[in-house]
This record gives sequence, structure tokens and C-alpha cells, in this order.
Amino acid sequence: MRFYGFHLMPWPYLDEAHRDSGAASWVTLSNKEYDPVRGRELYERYLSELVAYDQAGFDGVCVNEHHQTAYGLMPAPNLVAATLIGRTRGTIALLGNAIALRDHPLRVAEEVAMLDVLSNGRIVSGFVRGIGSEYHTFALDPASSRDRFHEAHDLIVRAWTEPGPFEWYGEHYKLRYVNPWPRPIQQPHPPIWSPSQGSGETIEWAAERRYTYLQTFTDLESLRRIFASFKEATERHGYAADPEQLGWSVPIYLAETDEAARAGARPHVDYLFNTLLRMPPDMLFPAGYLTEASAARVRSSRRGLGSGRLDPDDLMERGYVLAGSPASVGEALARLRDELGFGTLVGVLQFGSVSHGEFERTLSLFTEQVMPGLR
Amino acid sequence: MPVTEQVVDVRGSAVRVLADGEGSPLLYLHDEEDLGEWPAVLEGLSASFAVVRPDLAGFNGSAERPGCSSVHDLAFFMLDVMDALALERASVVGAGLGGWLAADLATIEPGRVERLALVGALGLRPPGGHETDLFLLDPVQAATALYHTPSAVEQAVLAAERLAGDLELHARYLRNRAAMAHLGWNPYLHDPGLGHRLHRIAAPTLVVWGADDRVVSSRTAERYAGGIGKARTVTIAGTGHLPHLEAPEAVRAEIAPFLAARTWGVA
Repeated sequence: MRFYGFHLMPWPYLDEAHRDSGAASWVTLSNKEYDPVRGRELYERYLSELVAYDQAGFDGVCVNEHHQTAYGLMPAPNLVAATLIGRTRGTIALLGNAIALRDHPLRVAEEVAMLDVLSNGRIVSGFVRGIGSEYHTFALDPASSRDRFHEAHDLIVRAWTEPGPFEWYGEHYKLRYVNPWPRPIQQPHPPIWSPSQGSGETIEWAAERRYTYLQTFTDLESLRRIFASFKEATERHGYAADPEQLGWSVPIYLAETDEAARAGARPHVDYLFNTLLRMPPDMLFPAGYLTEASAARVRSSRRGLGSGRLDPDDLMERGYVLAGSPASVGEALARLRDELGFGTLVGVLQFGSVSHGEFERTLSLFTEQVMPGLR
Repeated sequence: MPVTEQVVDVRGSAVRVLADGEGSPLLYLHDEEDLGEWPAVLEGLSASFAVVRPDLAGFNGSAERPGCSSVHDLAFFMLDVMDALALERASVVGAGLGGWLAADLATIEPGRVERLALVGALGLRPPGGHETDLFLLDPVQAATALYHTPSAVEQAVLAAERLAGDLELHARYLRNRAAMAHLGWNPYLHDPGLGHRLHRIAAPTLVVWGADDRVVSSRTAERYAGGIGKARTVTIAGTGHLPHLEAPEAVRAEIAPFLAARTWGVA
């Protein structure tokens, strides 16, 4: 199993009045709540936590992209990745660039190729559509987002692999010359990951291209179903999934005992799920963002993330967050690895309002007592 | 005579068309909330007009039209629909999104529009901007933003709640919303170019607005009327963005004599 440490860079200072108001923490939450002085301290701390994953023996560190939200202070993952190149030795995974949100995906092809060359081939390139709220942020038609994503992906991969210059006249992007300098150092291109919340279309898309499928924010029941459909999809495309192609991203909180871990994690789980992820349904799933099939599924589950108040204990019980002693969490992970056959674990050891001290404790317990047994 | 329903092939795209009545041709272009019905405002008009009400491309029973990514594109396709229905020249009534479409269409082929009535039309940016973001509202919230009188709001909320319980209707609602997003997400519910073309409209025009429209403020009516020139505005008291649904009799009482008039100025 390979281990990656992920950071979402949350703003941890929203108060309970905001949580209880039910107002969104995305798009419309005024940025007067953001204090740049505290923000600078946070960047310094969060970057040191990403470096700490690398120093503690994780295979890689992960950054991502979100916009106009207290949920994550990383609108530009490639900038963060650039600062990490000189401070880390392992992989730097971009999970991912929200390519459909860009004015031009050719810029992503250039930036990721730069990072790949600068890091001497340590880049994993995740591609995402951007979540629904980000279509409000950038005033982009959500009904076209899937098409934009696919076209942007095709353009970037071709720009990385086919000698330029060539022309590109697609539905969404039109270029007389595609000819990016530099090209990636990894051949034919950096590994591509597909982080997703489990849409059937994305599973199929990633399996067909032999990408690593990374499941984020999910309960164990859904994780089982989703990994099973990914394996089925790879078989349909004529191959058996490599374990490392199945990735699970999960917040982890460790303490000496299960009781202490659950008690310690509770307020942070509450903050992550009930404050930071909070937004109205039409912000999360704007008109046309989901296919008709996905929309029907979301409708039948009704109480997804971002809507009603979720019980932290229930979330931990269902596996949205792994909180426990090193022994319990290690056993749970070994059991799930054997049952589900996944070989990529992306741990989020700082989440919500988890403090630096708590992060350090989880990190040392994890690397000393959990990771060795799973390797 | 009952309303007839047919699906017409328009240059390869299926278009669902409701029709009723006899007389001079009247094309009705529906609003963005329409779920495929024959609105009450049309009752009575069919006594003196041959009323034709197509589902807009991508809405209700009509197929998406490839290559249509703006209301302007849709206006060209609506001219194709008029050709297919042998509507050489017709009076056009458009509400909300349909009003935007009607105005755009009348700038392209002014000679094909006999008389034009716009009801709470989208398409222009209201003075001071838009108050609400329809795309952030769920159906129940939208009901309170779209209507004005408490009883109309209450009825709309009930209908929105019924929508949640009706799989087929809800799927239609989502499809319509996606079509609307495709047309009106950016720029939000307007076309910056439309105002510069409005002077091309030749038909006598009636601009009808709800006095308490919170989607597109009633001050937008003046922008339409000013741009078109040969236009008169009417405000319907006690109604919001959809006066033709909230007060169909009051709207019909304005529209019917206007459409029936042979010359400008006769009401």
C-alpha cells in the first residue's frame, strides 16, 4: 500500500453562529471573514504539515483546488506545489486541477509540465471538474461542465504527448497552435488521477483510461459499492485493476484510546461536515451539473453532504472519518484493504479545526504504529 | 375545442406543440418555469386567435437543439419552427424567457411579427442589476421569490412540494433547469447585445410587467419600451415575475384588446 498525506487548508475560525445560521460557507460567505494576518500564519503552519508528511515517510503529499470558500484556502494548487518542490523528496499529487473551470486548459498543461520538470518527475496530475459551487463562482454554465472537462482533458493529454504545433478546434476551446514548452519529464506524461465523489460516469471514464480512481468523502458502504463498480469497469475494459489504481481519501484522527480519539475528533468532524461543507443544494448541484441518472440518485438519497445537520458520531461510525487508537484504525484499514483491495491511501490528518498539536500526534502515531503494519 | 398536442419535426429536431382556437395566428412562447402546460392566460384568447404554444428546444417535450447555446441561437431556431408550422406572420406573446426569445426573434425578422407582447421578459439587465439568483434557489424558495400575493406564494409552494414527490415531473423540472442554465447562466438572464438591436422591432409592442417582480425589476419595462420605441408599458399590480400566472385575467384583459387592435393606439 502507498500512503499520501493530503491537506485541504481549511479556515478554522468560523463561529457557531455561522454554523447555526445555516448559511453557505461557499460562494456567498463574505471574505471579510478572512483575516490575511491569520491567513499568513495558517499557510506557514499548513505548509509545514505537508512537509511533515514527507519527512515522516509518506510516499507523497497532496494538494487540491477550491474557490471562494472557507473550506479550503488553495485556489491555486500549482502554486502550493511549487513551494513544496524544494522542501519535499516524495511525490506531489495535484488532486486536482479543476480543468473545466480554467479559461484555457492549455495553461494547466503548461503549469503541470513545469512542475514535473522542476520536481524531476515527482508530479501526479489529478483532474477534476470543480464542484457545483465553483460554477457559480466563475459564472460557468454547469450544463456544459462535463463536456468542458472531457475536452480539456483530451487537449492537455494530447498537448503532453503529441509533438506540436497542432491545431485544436473543439466545442469549447479553439487554438491555432498547441505547442507547450516545456513538456513533462515523465513519459508519456505524469500519472493521472481521478478524484471523485463516486459518480458512475467518472468511474467509467477513469477505468477506461487506466487512471487511479480516488474516492473522497464517503461512508464504507458506498466505498464498497464504488470500488466494486470500478473493478467491474476495468474488467469490462479488458484488464484487472491494479490495487494502486483504487484510492481512498479519508480524514484520520488518532489518540491513545478509541474513546479519547472519538471525543477529540468530534468537534472537528462537526466543523468539517456541518460548517465547512455547508451549502444549499442548488449551490452544490447547480442546474445541469449532474447527469439525469446522477440527479435521480442524489434525489433518492436526499440527505447528502452539504444539506441537513449531520451527527459527528454517526459520521465516524459510518467511516466518513477514521477516529480511534492506532491499533483499532490499523486493524480497520488492514481489514478494508484485504476486503476491498485498494492500494492507495490518502490520509487527511488535519481536517476542520484540528490543531497543529493534534495533527502531530496523529502523524507520529500513524507513521510509527499504523503504517508499518500495512506496508 | 380541446387543446391539441403534436410533435413536429423541425429540421431534424422534435418540437412538441400545443394548439387551440381559430383566427389570426398567435404564437405563445413560454416562461422558464413552465412545465409543459396550457396556461390559463391563453384561455379565452383561443376564441379569436389560432394559438400555437411550442415547447422551447430542450424544455418539456422538445428535444435539445444542437448548436443552440444562447437565446439568440434559439431565436433562429424558433424562426425555423415558425416555418415548419407555416406561420408566415403572427402576433407573438412571450413571458419571462419566452419574452426574451420573442424580442430577439422580432429583431431578426421584424416583418414576421404582427404584434408583440412581452410579459416580465428576461433578456435585459435591470437598472441596478438582478436582485435574486434564481439558480441558487430550490423550488420552494423559488416559489416565494417568483410570486407576490400570499395566496399565490402558498399555491406555488404546494406545487413545489408536489414536484418533489413526482419522479417524472421532477425529472422534467431538472431538465428544464439545465436548459435554462445553458441559456441564461452567463451573462445572468440577459444578453448585452439585445438592447442594441431592439430598435429593429417593427411590431407595435405591449410591455407587461408585475409591479413587484423580484427577478427582473419592473423598471426593466422602461428599458424595453425605450429600446423598441413603438411600445407601451403596463404594470400589473399585486403580481411578481409571472403576472400571467399570478393574475391571468388581468393580463389577458390587457393583452387581448391590444392584439385585436388593427391600428396602433386603439385599445
